[in-house]
Amino acid sequence: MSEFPGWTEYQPTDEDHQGVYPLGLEAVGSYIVGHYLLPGITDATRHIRYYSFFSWVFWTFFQELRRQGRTTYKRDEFFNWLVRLENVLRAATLDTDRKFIGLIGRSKALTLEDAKNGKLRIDQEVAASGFVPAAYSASFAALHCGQYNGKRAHLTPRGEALGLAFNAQFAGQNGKADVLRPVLSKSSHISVKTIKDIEDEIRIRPVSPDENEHPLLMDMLLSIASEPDGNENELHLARSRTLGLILEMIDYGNGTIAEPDDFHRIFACGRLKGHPKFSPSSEFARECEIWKRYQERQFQKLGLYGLWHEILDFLSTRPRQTAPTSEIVTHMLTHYERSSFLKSWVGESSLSKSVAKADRNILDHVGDHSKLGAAAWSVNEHLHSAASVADRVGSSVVLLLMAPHFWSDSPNDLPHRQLHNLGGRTRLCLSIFADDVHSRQNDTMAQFLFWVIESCVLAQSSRIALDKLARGDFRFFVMRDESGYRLIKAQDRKQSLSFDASRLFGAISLLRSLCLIREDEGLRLTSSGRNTLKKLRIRHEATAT
Amino acid sequence: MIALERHIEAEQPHRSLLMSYCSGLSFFEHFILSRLQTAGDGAVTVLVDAADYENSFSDAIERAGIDYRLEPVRLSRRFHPKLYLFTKSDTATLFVASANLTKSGFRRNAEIVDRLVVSPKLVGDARALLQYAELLESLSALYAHFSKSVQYELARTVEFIRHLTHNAQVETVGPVGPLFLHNATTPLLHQVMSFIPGKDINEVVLISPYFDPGCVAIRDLATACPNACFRIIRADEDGNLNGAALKSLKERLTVETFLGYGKGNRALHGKVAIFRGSITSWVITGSANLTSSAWLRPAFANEAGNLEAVVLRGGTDLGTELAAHLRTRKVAIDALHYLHVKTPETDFGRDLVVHDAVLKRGFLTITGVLLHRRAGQYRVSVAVEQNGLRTDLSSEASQDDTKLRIVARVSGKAISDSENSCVVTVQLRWTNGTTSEARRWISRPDLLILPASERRTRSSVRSVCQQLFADAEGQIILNAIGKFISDIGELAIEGDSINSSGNAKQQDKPRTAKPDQSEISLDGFLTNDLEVKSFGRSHRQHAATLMEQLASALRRIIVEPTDDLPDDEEPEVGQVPKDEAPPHKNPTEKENKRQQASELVEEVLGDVVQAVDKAHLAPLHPSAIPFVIKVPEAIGAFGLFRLRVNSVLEQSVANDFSYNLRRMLVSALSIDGVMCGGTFGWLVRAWCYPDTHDELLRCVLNEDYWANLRAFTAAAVSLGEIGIAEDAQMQSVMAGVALITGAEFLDDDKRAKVSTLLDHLVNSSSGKLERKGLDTVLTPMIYQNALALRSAPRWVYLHRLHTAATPQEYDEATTQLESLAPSLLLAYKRMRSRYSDPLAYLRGGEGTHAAYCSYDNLRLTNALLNRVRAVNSDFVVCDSCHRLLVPYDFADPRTTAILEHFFPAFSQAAV
Repeated sequence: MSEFPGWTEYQPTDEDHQGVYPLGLEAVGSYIVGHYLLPGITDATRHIRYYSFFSWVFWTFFQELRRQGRTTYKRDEFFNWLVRLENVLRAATLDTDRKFIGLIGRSKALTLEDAKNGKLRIDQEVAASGFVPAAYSASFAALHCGQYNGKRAHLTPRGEALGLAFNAQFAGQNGKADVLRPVLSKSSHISVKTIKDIEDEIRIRPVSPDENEHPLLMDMLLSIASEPDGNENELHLARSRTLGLILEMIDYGNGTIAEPDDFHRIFACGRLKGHPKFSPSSEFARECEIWKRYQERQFQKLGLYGLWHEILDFLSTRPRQTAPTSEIVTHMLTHYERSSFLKSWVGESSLSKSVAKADRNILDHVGDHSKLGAAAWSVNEHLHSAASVADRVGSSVVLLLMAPHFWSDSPNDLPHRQLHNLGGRTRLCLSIFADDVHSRQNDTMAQFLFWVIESCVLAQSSRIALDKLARGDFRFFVMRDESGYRLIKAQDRKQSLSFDASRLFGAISLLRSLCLIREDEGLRLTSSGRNTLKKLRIRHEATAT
Repeated sequence: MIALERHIEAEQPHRSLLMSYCSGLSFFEHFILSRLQTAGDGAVTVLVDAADYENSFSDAIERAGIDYRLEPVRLSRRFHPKLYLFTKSDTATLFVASANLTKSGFRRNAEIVDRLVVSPKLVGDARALLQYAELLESLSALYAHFSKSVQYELARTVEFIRHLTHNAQVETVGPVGPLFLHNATTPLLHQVMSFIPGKDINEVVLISPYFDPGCVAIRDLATACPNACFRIIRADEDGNLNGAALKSLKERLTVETFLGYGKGNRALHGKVAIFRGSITSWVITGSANLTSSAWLRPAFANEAGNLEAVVLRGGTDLGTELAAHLRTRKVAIDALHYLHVKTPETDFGRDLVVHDAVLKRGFLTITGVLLHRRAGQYRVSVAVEQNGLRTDLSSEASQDDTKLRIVARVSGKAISDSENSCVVTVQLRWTNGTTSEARRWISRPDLLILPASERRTRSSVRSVCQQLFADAEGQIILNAIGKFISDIGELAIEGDSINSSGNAKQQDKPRTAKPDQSEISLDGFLTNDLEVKSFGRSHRQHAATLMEQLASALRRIIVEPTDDLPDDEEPEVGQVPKDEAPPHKNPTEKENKRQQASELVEEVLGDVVQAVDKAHLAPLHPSAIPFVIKVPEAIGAFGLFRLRVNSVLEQSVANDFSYNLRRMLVSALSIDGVMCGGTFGWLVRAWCYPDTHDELLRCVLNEDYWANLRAFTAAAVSLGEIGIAEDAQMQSVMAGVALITGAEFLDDDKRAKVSTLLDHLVNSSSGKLERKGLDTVLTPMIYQNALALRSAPRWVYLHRLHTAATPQEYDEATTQLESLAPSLLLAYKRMRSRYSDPLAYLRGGEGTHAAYCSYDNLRLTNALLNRVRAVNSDFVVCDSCHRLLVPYDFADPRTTAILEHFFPAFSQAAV
């Protein structure tokens, strides 16, 4: 019997997906940071001591194998070893500070309070491990503590040295090695007392300059003394210079820099509010320029995401959460006209003005090109703080007219200008976006807004979602459907109205855990940090531009 | 359940005609289109409602007008059918569905589909297919705004269906069906009730997501089936059914809300009407919602309805299955209400309709109609947008009554070369300050006509270029590589080729007017035409596959739209918890990907070298020229391609490709054969012979070939790394370019085109090429700049002196030679006193780097030959016959033709 006529088959899609990056623009900034500035670390790598700890986990595991005269092991053996020691690490860390930030698996971790009869069970995987790529394992390899050799991991000489240095704390103190024995055995429970005895040695905490691990960790992160591995030499040096730049900026801020946003402000405006201009030393000037290109790209991205969120909000109010493009554009144009912010930048009745005229008004408002970054920063702040749809639309449009000037008005020999080509049209890179905007100089602002919504937001979201669908992931936030675009998934505004992952948070945290900086009403250099900065300048003197 | 995409894929159609109310064209392009272009013509036409067409401009569309025709249908109401027709040589398959051409329609919604097939073995649906053909005819007749190409497609389809059903026994009456019904001119309800005895119907099941505000369609159906109970299944959506309007039917009506069918959270979009009589049941499926627009009105009438298409089937126990497994929930009629949803209309197309916008031979022709003329005059502006980049075009408009025709010149603009969809916006600016606007996807007939296989090739190259290059650079590289790979599939020599044996065709004289009866060795290598053709096709397929793999490999290496951002992309080490699949690349995996990409590139380039070599073995024939003329362009493009890939993969360029690049250029363009022991490139040989000369010039004169040949060859030569001033081989190649492009064709337009091209090539070279360097390579070629030509004058004058017929000729030659090469003159005179014939001309051995002394016919040693060819040695005496060796074979008409071109005095000087 024929199956026709019949109902169509359902192809499962997960409309309640966990996707992010709906316009796919983030890859550019992340790529710049990951490849040219802070390779090897992420915002998840906050505590430097994890590197010594994991090195020690490997080291003790291999020692145990050697003791048993074995050269091979099964996957689960290492896994069990890791679980036991991480449980101890977490219990020890949380015993000192119950709310310790940045401890992987903290919420589900076993604490000493979970002990029964004075003993804590440590052989069960109860919490997430820190040794996963999204946390420390990828970074562990990138910083050359360990490396793959076929299917098995090995410690590098650096990892071996770190493991030894970590272990030396136990070995160097009377009785500690004995205390450690049950921890390194296969027993499922260990006593609370044992954990307390080795608590300070094993827990996650800052590493002070007088500890054995410190110079090794410094070298791992900053490559001050040693020449980095040949293959990835430039990556390590780039990270080293970027961290040097961060130290220099903290020194410049002298307590007024408190969070990554302050760094972004300097990259955009060239200074902190009320401070003189920040001038990087020549050793770190290259990285500072790259950060500026990163920052310039962010303004374009935020302008597009500003409009994106208004579209999502609008669709969420429509019947069937669907609206045709014309309706979406009408909604945006209506709010555009009401934006007092836009009026202050572009003038009255700007919808009928040409893009060239609106652009000129904005540039007049800015003054000269050197103030463009600061102006964009202030518009970005307004985009975040504006309460009305109209002003959010207005801020986004101003950003989108400003951003192209970072490309089109900059000299051809602007350092690292080519970073604005990164990602090409598929990521709406700044150079291409600037060309596109330039080709619309004679359009009215209404036509311009129409184009941005159609081509740079709606079409872009479809393009990205379809690319992801082609590899099997349903990641639509809006979808072309009957009667226009349908809202599939709302998105947290904060998530996409932020700068691309800059890894600055991770970098600051690592520097703090090396006691190079301290938090004292803002970030300040310690004496060790100041010394390190000097050493870094000397280290990179030869490569200064 | 029916997997619509799988069914479509199985069709492997040659032509497809798709009609849908709305479309997710980016979804269609990504997931459906390629399945329709695997065989035959791969021609695809998509008709959508005009309102939805406007939405398409905000979709991520890349192939409309390039790989498929997209046409809006602007009816009084909606163009609502969902009809997907696929045809191949002897089969037509029509899917009549409720599913729009969207992702939801094909994958998520609960949709209903029927299928009608006619093939030599299956003729049962012939009547329905003929009724479908009638719909196409009605559309052609009643709808005035179709483009010519769509009209042609509709007519062609009608003809094809008629041809297919010609021998089928078509029943003209009878209720069993299947029947294809549409409401172009007659309301559906009238037609349906003419087949179904309404009074005999006991139960009517109506499944629909949408209803009209007053439930008029349902009430009319209730009137038509007065004895039936009605079961209505509606979509689970607030405000879609007016309960108050159904009060009069309350006694014989139940309403249910659709909750699901099978797995998943599905929205009801299927439209089904089941009429159950005591013996026979009828099922109607298709596009018609339970609305008055769908059921009660024809599409072409004063009070028009939507255009709908359904299939009616009759039989025992039909339809039971369709309603049996639906999960529903009963609802009280009183609780139902109807919400009006008002949709604002767009300004586009309200008073200006563009029928077609066709880009052909450098001109964009837009035809349309002005529906509402406003007071005053208007000024026309035309802008084309492609990939976000807008280009304003100057245009000329003419109007005949309401018909509008606008022509804009686009040659020289980036869009004319690009293979991405572009939109034209036509704006009429009226003197009263208002504007009328319309937009349209531009059709490219030259690309739409490409067969499926060629389309695949170009698509695969495009994917790679998109990964590697920015827009403009990517496009010119894509064009060069794409054309090369596509065209090699068609490389076959039509007719008889020119050969040296003389038995195929009597060789005409060379193009020089000088009488010369000498036998010329033309092609040492003759390749069988069929062999070439088969090689070309397999090469094309192989190249397409390689390029697809390469695109995929590069996509994983270059910044991709991933949700796993490179925040933590560094490799993992050691164990990971069992439950967490590591989404990140490890170093080996990363390296493997690079290695894989690198190997693919090597394979692609290996194929290119092989293809070029094979092409250069093709016999001289006019039919081969359109392909071989593109070879230098392709060599340059592949050189740059290789460079960019290496840059992306962070690898150094392999030396063998540089070697091959030079070798291929020599095989194509070198004039080095003017000196014995050297080689004439294929195109240079083609320039030399009358049979191919004119065709070559015709091809070269084409603006693109001319400019591309110069620019790409200059780029390829510059990639050779030696520098033109020191590189005798490349000097000969550039002399070949100068020879066949000819200075006389140089005008400002072409100069500008070359200049633009050179800029693009510099940009795409990852910093390897400099504009200044390319300009140097393209410096106008005079004989002094090419080693192979530099010493020609003194040998020409010596030859003239030696063959002088009158004392005057003798004196003139002596004077010239005295000033050019006094030592040569002295040596000649000295020898003349000893030998009556003191000159020994070198002969032949083309391409083999071998030469023979014409006096004693002995082969010269390589060392001696090199000394003879070296321009710095004034003259060389033969070791064997002790005569002066003349390195130019003046008996070879190719040599004389080339020397004449570069050294005009030659025609007077030579005999």
